[in-house]
Amino acid sequence: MDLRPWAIASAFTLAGCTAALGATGSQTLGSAGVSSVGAKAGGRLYIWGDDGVVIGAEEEVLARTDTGGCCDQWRVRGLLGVANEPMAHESPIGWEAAVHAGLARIPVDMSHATAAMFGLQGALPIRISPRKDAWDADDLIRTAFQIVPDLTLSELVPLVRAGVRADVAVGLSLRMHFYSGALP
Amino acid sequence: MKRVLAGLSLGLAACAPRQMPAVAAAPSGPNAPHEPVAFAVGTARADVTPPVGAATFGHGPDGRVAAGLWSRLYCRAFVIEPVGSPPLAIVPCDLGAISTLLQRKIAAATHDIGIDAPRLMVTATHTHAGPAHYFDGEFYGSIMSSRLPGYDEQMADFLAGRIAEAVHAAYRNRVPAALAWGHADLWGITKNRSLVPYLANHPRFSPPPPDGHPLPAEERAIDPALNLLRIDAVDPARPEHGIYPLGSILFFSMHPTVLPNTNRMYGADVDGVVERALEREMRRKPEAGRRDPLHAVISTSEGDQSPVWVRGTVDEAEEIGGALAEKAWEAYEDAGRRLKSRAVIDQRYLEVWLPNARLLDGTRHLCAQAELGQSAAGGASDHPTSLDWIDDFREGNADWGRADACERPRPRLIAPLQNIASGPYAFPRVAPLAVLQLDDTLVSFVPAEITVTAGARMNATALAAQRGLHIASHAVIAGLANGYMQYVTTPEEYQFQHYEGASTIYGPMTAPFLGERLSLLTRAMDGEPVAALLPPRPMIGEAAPIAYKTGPSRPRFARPEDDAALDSIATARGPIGLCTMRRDGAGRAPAFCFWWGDGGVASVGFTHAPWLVLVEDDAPRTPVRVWGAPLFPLEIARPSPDVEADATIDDRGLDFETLAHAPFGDARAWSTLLHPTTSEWAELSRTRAVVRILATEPKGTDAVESPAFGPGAMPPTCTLVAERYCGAK
Repeated sequence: MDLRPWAIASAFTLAGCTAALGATGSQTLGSAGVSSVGAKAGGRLYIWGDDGVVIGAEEEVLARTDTGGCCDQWRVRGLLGVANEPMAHESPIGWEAAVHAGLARIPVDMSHATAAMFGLQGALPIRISPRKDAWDADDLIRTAFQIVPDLTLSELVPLVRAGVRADVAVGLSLRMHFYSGALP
Repeated sequence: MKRVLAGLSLGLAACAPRQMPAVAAAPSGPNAPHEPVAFAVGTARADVTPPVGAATFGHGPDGRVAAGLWSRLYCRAFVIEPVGSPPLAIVPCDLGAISTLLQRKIAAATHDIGIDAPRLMVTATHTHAGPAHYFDGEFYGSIMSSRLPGYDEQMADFLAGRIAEAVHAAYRNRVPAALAWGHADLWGITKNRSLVPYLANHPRFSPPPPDGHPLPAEERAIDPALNLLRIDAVDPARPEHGIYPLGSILFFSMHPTVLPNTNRMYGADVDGVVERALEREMRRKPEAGRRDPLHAVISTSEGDQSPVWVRGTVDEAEEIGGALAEKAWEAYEDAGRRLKSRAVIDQRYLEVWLPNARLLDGTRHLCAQAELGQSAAGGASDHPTSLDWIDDFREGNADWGRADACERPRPRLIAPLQNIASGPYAFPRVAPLAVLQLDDTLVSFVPAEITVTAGARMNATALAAQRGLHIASHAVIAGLANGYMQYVTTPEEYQFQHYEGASTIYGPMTAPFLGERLSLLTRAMDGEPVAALLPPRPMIGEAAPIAYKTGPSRPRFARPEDDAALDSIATARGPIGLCTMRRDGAGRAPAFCFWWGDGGVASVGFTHAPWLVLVEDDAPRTPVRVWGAPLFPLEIARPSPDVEADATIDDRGLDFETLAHAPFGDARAWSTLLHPTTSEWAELSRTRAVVRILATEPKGTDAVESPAFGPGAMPPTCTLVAERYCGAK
């Protein structure tokens, strides 16, 4: 069976997508507050067009910046939300709103703990590639770059210890946006 | 925040189907005595060229966004009012297809003059250089329906508004009239692009070409019938003599696409050439005065019948259109000898529910859900898409093992993603049908592209169904009418799964089903009680409520606020350059590239008036009036000097190819390629004219003028960069 039609059809049906690299800083709230900064990487898939449903995944690696104790963190989350991507022929500013869920390794007391994580994320993708007229932006495959500030609110629930904690994180990413002019 | 809220509300709204503006229409009984009656006809033209920047519809994922225009897009409204009956309207349009949503929107605006949906027949020529974005059916505004697809209510409202205005104007203009049909055959300009399925038909529709006319097999496998309806105004005191031409409608089988899918200019393609040629010839008649007689084209059984084209250029579209226009003009003149001021004018309309619809034998039925086959993605043989390199998307991909017997042997395109990506509202579920008897000819309006043989069978069925006194002797299909459900092949053709079969969305029984329903309408016209053979609702003559969904809403119709406004660009508005193109071919007239700064794409919008005009270099900037030689040799009287309507060279004709370019300063750059015909240039040379190209401005500010030029003062030769800027290949 020739799989190319399915691959191409799937690409047309599912693309565009973005890949991102960036920096993030997080603050766990409450008496056991933890401040961290680090790097993040992620990808998103815009289902059936760049205005609509988005699914994605992100990973963050964080180093602790306060003097409270150990340890470095990592966080992995999946995202599901809605998006309006800043296409080349439209406004340079878009928006995204998503719910997220995932796992994190967080410092608890003087050691690590694995925690479940869920929450909300909002982002403002800002297209930095030049604006194009619609007739110059309708190729089957195109790319554009975005700078994306984001705000993530999370609840961290350690799996084996008590103590739910709230966390707020801000990030700034550089994204590469792949999309198709055959999508709405 | 506004965008967030707008996006969320659009997202929520998209989840629920919407309801078309149903027009409450009384179910029709006999709407007119099926007897010859006197009648009045009015005509009017609507310019439906949208601002550039919308995608073109027809080439699927290759339908490019338009950056300019070659020819304006017109809808031509013919309102016919038989004595004692309400009026009806036929509106052929230079569009890719008609959506039922568009027809309903027009009908909602023409309700006040008695033209409701059941009496409004809007057709599309099927140019692939008209706009997208006004379709019901999610698929026609979604993935791969064009580049930058989407549905835009502004586009639908713009088209409906302009067309409704023309229907109103035609209604106001109506005068006592006479009509006649001209019939001819035309061979040699079309071919069957799907020959193998055509040859499998049994019986095969195979009219013989004339003796001594050797043609390749593809060019013999066609419907050569050219049927032309001529309508003249008459003096009621001498009703059998036309006093001036009102217009004509050509019915011809030709998928009218010469321009390729890389085209970025709006245009009426080959049918636009025919329309302009016949309108010019009608205007040349001394009795035409300063009127605007209209010539429209309705595509008949064009599903598998294409023009014979090689280059896919504007020049070639003009050549093919010229050959068709020449034959059409013969039919027009021939019809003039048989004008009748009393004719049978009767019509019936029926909206049929398509999913699972059963034929009268109770066993055959349409498929439960519309879908496309794999071969639809590769395009037709004469215009393959950019996905044609994938074997599975090529013509002939059949799956005889498919479990679904109704769809077999069609393999579903991108199965199962097609069903995930498109639900029950992906394609139209209701087909508006109409049968109109005009004198001795039955016209069957069908919202689809019918293949030659399927159309011939429908015509034969309709003719055979007649029982009345005044039976018709001719039958024609009016395809792409009042909706769009893609292609309809015969059951035999469907088995081959060429592009047309793969695009017959309700399966192989669609043609027999539509033929049967059309024959019931014909019987209803003869007074037979056929209601018992039909589902209880909708009844004949009823426009039912139709639930629909569109593709995702996107702002594709240019908004004034998104581009340079005319009143803010005074400094940058003006001429920039003018040069003479280098053209191939001895004996061709020169062409000129002019570029200038002007308003944005929305602010220079196209109206009935010309935007670009060739004017004389005198103080009042008098438009150049050139009669030139006709496209083809005809015996035509020279018009009197005061008969000058539309003899100007402007962008309503075929001489300008205009493109929008990137903004510069606070304005937008535009270019136009002016290519006068040989005869126009000869007349300019004879009169030693010095001329300018004028970009007029509708709001009263100064026009932009090119430098003066003419046969005696040629502009410098264009650089290659300038030639490319003006769109030269």
